[in-house]
Amino acid sequence: MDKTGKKSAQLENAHSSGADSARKHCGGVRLGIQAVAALIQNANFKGFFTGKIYTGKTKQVCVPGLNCYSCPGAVGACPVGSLQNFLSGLTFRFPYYVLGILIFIGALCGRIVCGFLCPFGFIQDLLYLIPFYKKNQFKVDKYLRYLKYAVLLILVILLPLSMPLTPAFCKYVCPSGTIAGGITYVTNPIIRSQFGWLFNWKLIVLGIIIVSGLIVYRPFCKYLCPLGSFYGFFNRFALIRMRFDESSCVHCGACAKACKMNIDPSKKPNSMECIRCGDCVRACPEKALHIGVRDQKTDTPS
Amino acid sequence: MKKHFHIKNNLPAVILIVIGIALIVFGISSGQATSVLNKARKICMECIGIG
Ligand code: SF4
Ligand code: SF4
Ligand code: SF4
Repeated sequence: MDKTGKKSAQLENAHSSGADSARKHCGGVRLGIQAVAALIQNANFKGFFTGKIYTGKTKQVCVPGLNCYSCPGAVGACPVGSLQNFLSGLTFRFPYYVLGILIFIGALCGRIVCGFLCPFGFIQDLLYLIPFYKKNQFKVDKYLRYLKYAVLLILVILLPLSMPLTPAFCKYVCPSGTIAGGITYVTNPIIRSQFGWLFNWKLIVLGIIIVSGLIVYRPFCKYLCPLGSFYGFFNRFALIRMRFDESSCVHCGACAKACKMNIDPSKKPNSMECIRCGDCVRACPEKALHIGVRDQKTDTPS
Repeated sequence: MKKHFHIKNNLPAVILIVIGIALIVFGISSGQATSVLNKARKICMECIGIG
């Protein structure tokens, strides 16, 4: 069969109900892994009732994703908060430890963290499952993607460096911190009385992220997250990355159609935007894509 | 389909992993893990929106 014939036959196969149900099943497995990862990172369950945060030794280890250390459930430290703390103008120290953790995780698996381990990514995946008006592709999308690099540079690096003791991203944007604040508000009456305008501002930001998350797939990850933008730089080199066998590809477009981050992995298998969810891998009728450490016949890093 | 691990194709990752581990070890030896712990075991007022 020539490539065109193969293409239409395979597309038909790719969209058969069997393939669809397999895809849904594997998507369910990912949701399960995300749920377990979120639970492990927030295993101080009694904190959710007492409002008191965990103070044990595991809090010296940064978790890979966005999970606020002020959340009463958290048993690890947030890498973005810790990074800003080291950079703070008043107490600046080069963040060897946090940077080392981020480089290690990035070089090992890139944005697999986003697809599988980050609790806030998981929350957004659940939000997008809610039946609602969906509009995942629109004109300004590609320009808005640059915003997250500005957030990383300005709010996480430059402002904390120039303003003593101001973790600007935590203070004005971070939705994970706002959720932690919400839980503290409900469970800790002593702290409750201190909430004011800043909390209201953060609630508005969180509200916008939640409502847009019903319509657009992972808006926070696409447009705002400094951690996702950092890991994105590693997607191209990471040990565990997308491996694309160009010789098997029949250019059917099934992978691009399956991607909710709006990437065409047959053109950019290691795009900085890829969260390694694996939807395209399951959609490909030719098994031209896979995520792992080993190359298929050819490997096109791009 | 046969899959192979080529060290040449994965060299940048291996180098970055080694750099990452070296930074972690140096950070721990200079007390930075303790600094992270000290920050993380107190409620961060900025994070929760008090300021
Ligand atoms: S982009 Fe940020 S919030 Fe989204 S999954 Fe990745 S680390 Fe988590
Ligand atoms: S990589 Fe994409 S375009 Fe190529 S065969 Fe697989 S699904 Fe089709
Ligand atoms: S390119 Fe594939 S793995 Fe990456 S986000 Fe899109 S569907 Fe998921």
